[in-house]
Amino acid sequence: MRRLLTVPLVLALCASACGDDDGGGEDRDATTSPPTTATSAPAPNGGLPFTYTGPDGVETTVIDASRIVSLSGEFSEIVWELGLGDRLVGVDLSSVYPPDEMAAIPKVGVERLLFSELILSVEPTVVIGDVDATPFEAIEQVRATGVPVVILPRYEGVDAPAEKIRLVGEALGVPERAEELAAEVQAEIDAVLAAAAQVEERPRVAVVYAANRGETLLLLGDNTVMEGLVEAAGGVDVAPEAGMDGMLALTPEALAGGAPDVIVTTERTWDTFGGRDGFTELPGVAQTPAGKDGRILVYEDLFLLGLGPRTGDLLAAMFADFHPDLAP
Amino acid sequence: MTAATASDRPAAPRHRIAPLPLFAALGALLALSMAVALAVGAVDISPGAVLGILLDRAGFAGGPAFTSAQSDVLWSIRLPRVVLGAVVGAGLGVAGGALQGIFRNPLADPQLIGVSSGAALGSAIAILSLEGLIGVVAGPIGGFAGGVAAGAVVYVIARHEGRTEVVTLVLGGIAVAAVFGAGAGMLSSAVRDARLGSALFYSAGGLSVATWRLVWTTLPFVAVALIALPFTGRSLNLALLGDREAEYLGVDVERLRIVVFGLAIVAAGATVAAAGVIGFVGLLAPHGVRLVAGPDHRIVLPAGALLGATLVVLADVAARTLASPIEIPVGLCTAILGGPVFLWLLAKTRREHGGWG
Repeated sequence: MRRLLTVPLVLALCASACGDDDGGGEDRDATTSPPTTATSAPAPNGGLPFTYTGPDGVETTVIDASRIVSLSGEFSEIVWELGLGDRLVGVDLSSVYPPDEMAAIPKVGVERLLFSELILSVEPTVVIGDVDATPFEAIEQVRATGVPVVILPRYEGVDAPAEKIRLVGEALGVPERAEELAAEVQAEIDAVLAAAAQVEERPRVAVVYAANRGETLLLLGDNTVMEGLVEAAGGVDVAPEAGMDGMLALTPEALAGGAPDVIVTTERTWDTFGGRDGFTELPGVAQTPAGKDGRILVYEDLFLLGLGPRTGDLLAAMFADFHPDLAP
Repeated sequence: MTAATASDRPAAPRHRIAPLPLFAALGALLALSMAVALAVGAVDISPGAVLGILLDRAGFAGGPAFTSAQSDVLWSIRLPRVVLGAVVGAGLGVAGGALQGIFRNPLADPQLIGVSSGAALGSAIAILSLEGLIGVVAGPIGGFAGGVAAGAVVYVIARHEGRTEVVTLVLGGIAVAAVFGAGAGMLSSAVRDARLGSALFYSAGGLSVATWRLVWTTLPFVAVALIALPFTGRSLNLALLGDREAEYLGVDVERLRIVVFGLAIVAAGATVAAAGVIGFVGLLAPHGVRLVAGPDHRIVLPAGALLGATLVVLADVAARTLASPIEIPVGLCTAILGGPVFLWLLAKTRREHGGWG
C-alpha cells in the first residue's frame, strides 16, 4: 500500500511546496509526457473561416485565429498541444498546464465570473469556452464588439477528449493537426481500456472533490466529467452503483456506506483539508476501507477533471494505482 | 465622560454646510468619481480618448483620437457599468435615508431590515418564472414584491403600540434577511441557471453584467423614488417629533409611512434585481450627509442619493481593479467601509442618548 501512495504524494507535496504560480521548474507529474512544442506552426487562418452553432444557439464564424483566448484549462492545454501556444494571448485562471508556459500568459478572469473588458483587453480574434463561460452578458458583450466566441457543449466520458480536440482544432483552422492529436489521445485511452478489460480484481473507487472552500465534499458520478473514467481504468465507481447521479454533496455516512477501497481526489481538495492527516481524518473517509488502508490517490485538478490531451495519461496512472500488484 | 460634557454636546453650535454648496460639492464629487471610473480598467483608454469617445458619441467629431475597439469597450461595457453603479448607489442612498426617517431609527437600511434579501429572492423567482412573459422588467418587479414581503414582515413584527421598537426591528430584520437570503442562495445553487448569476452575486453584489438594457430597466424604478421621496422630506421631519405631534401639525403619519416605505422598496428592490445585495450604502450615504449638513430630510434624501452614487461608483472601481483578474464583489468593498461606520453609529448613539438598551 505504501508504494501506491508514492507518486500521488510527491505530487501533493510538490503542489504545496511549489505553490501554484511559480511552477517550480520541476516536472510535477512523472506520469505525463512533457508538452510538445510546435515544430512547424501552420499558417494562421489556413483552415478558416469556420462557422459553428454552439449549445447556446448562437452561430459564430471564426475568420482569424491569430490571437486566441481560452476560458477553460483543458482548452488552453488543447491549443498548446495543437502547436498554437504562441497565439494564446489570454487564458482563465484554471489554465495551469503546461505550468511555466501558462504562468506567462495574461489571465483574463475565472469561469462563471467573467468580465468582458478583461477578455477584450488582450485583443483576441477568437475566444473559446464551454457552457460554464458565464455570465451570458459578458459573452454577449464580447460578441457585440465583433469578436467570435465559440462555446463548446459539455462533454463527458472517455470519448470527450478526442471530440473536444477535433472541435477546437476546427475552430482554430487546424483540423488535420487536431485529427492527429485526437487519434493519438484516443489510442492512449483505448490502450488502457483494453488492459482494464483484462483485470479481474476491480477496487471500489469514490471520486471526491471539495467545493465551497471545503464546506462541501462532492461525490462525482454519472453525468459529470468522471463518467466512465473509473471503469475505464479498471475500477468500480461507487457513485453510480449507489444510484447517484451527477455531483452529490456527500454526507460522511454516504461515503462510508459506499465502502470504497480507493478514494480519488484532487490536489486542491487534498490541500483544502490539510493534506494527508486532515483528509484521512475527515468524517466518512476514516471509516472507509480506503481511509483505513491509506489508499487515497491525489491528482492535480486539471489532470483529473480536464478531459483533455492528458486523459490517456490519467487513465494509465489510475490503472497503475488501482492495480499495484500488476505493476512490473 | 462627565454628565456636564454629555449634556453640553447637543447644545454646542454645529457648523453645517448650506444646501447649495453641499449639492455643488456632492455633484462635483460624483462627476469626478465617474470620470475616474471611466478612465480606469483592463483595456487601456487614456482620459483624452475617453473624452474623444464621449464627444464622438454625442455628435462632436474632432476630439482626442481613439480606436474603434476602445470606443466599443468604453461605450458598451465601461460606461453602462459606471452609470448603473451610480443609479444603484443613488437608489440605495435615498432608500436608506427614507427608511431611517420613517422608522426614526438610524440603523434602518435596506439590507439590515431584510428588504434586500427579500428583493433578491423575489427577483430570482421572477426572473426564472416571469421573464418569458413580461420581459426584463421581471427582475425589478419581482424585487419590489419580494422587498415588500420582507419589509412587511419586519414592519409588522417591529410595530408595537404605534411605535417601531428598535431592537425588534434590527433582530426581526436579521431573521427575515436570513430566511429570504437563504432562500435566494438555495434557489440559485439548486437551479444553477446562469440567468441568476452566482450565489455570490446575490449575497455580495456586483456590477460586472451591466448593460445599457439593465440601466434602462433599473433607472425608471430608482428615478420614481428619487423624484418623489424628497417631497416627503418636510413630513418626515415633522414625523420625527412623534406620531401624535405630527398629526397635530397636519401629517397623516400612517399614510406617509406607507408611501415612503413603498417608494424606498421600489428603489431598493430594483437595485437588488440589477446588482445583487450591496450592503451599507443605505447607511453610509445618509449619515455622511447628516454629519455635515444636519438631519433635514429635504437635504438628506437627495444629497444621500448623490453620495450613495459616488460610493458605489468608487467601490466598483476597487472591485474590478484590486484583485484583477478576479473581481471582488462590490458588497464586500462597501462593507469594509460600512462596518466601521456602523460601529461608530452605535457608539455615537450610546454617547448621546444612552444607547438602545
